[in-house]
Amino acid sequence: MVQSSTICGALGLLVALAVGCAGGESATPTAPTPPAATTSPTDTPTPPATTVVTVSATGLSPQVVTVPVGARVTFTNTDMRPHDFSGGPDPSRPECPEVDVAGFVVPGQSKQTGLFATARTCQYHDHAYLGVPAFTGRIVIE
Amino acid sequence: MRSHAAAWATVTALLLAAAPASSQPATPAPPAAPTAYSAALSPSWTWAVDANLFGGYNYQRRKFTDFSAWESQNWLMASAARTAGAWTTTVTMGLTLEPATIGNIGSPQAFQTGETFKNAPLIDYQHPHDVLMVVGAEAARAFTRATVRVGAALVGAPPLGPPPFMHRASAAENPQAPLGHHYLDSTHSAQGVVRAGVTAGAISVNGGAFHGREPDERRTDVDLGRLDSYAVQVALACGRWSGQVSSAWLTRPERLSTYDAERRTVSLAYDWRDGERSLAWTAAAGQNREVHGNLEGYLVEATWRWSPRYAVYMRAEQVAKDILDAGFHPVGVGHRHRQSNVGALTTGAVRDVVSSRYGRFGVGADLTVYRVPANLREAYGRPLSTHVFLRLRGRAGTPATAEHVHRH
Repeated sequence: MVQSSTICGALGLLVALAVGCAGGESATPTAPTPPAATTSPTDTPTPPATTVVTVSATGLSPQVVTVPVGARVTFTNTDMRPHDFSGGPDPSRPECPEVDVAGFVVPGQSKQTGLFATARTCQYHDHAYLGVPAFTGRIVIE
Repeated sequence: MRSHAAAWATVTALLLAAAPASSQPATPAPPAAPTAYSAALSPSWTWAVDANLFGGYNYQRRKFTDFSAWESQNWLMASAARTAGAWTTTVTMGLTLEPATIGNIGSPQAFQTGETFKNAPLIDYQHPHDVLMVVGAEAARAFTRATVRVGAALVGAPPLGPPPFMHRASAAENPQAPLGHHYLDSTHSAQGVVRAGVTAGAISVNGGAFHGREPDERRTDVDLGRLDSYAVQVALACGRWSGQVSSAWLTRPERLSTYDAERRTVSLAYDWRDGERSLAWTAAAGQNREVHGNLEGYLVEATWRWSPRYAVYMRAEQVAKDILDAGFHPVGVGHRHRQSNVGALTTGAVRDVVSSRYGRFGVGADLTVYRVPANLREAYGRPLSTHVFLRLRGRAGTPATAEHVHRH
């Protein structure tokens, strides 16, 4: 499995390089494009650090995370069973559809939420463990 | 719970008492009960014990994490029968050690669903069965044109669906449960059953009431409850052919759901035997009608023993799973579930190494490939399942007792 992932990654890199070398959609040679204006390092927005929530057989860790506006949260499943993340404290009160983007996460898999664009607090739950406090969490976006 | 247990014990004891201590067979012996393991009919007690044990390595290849387990699926069934006057009473008891040999989380099996572990739905595992698989009794009386049967069980099967997979001749060599187990035959170990039926010629009409809740996670107890669910069945048995159509109204069958459900099943089976050679196949379809949607499963399986030593088996299934939305649903949360139509094809073979009049000891292996629906492809990729196992099947009993296979 590791080998196939490595091979796929290498092939993906080669394809990306090939597409880049091919010059995108244009099939005919074009004049060289002047380089884009450079920006100083201080002007480049720093991508927010990835926040990881790990789900195991005993629950979520950490259960409360704080992320900046524009960030995503990654769910990593270290349990032996699938987990299913949904926005809202329970299915009758759906909210924060960004969490639904992660949704169903099988053992060994990591999946990201959607991008949290507005400041607020998102409650979410694991649909498979509804009502179990250890499998509910909050994402504070500020 | 105790009052339910006492009531069921009383009903079962009454059935046991239907066979007097001494009797004279005044009427011709009635036809055998629907289960062929009932012992040969005679004025005195006859008995039969059958056991089946798979032990081996189960490997499930999946996209992100492979799963494997050393495990054993097993069961032991004992039955005793006595004809007294016009009635024949059969007492049956079945046990399994699966809670110890598989573990409470179950046997790894991609896309399998049904029952719970730690109050969450089991996904990708086949649950172990309760230690007590069958405890019950049935009495049958033959009239001129028909045979009437009544029965009760602390743990047993209502008249619903094909015979349970572990007792089907078409699945005798296959250690793995069907993905459609909970669409067809999962009520085989219902906790509290009364049933009655009439057989006239090739046709049987059966009805029963039972506790419809599936067993809890404590595998060593009996989860008796009200007889809140009902099933009716019309069955056919004609030579090598048998079949059934059945329907059930289930009261809150799933522990994580607050809703009732209906189950419809239809199945047809063929069982040919010639000495040590045999061919058996079963085709079945089941539908669970739930508030979350109708889920359907289709199955075709076969076992062909073309020589005393070699047998091959296969199972093909197409099952609609609601893996993506499984979980607890409180009252008022009855949203439609997304369905994933999973296809599975298993092929396997067994070679008997030792065979005696007490049973067979063999080695076997199988491989399962899947058709993964688009909405599960990201999570599952292209999984494979394999089993390599030893199989021991033993039998003992009074002469003329039959091998333990069920018919419709």
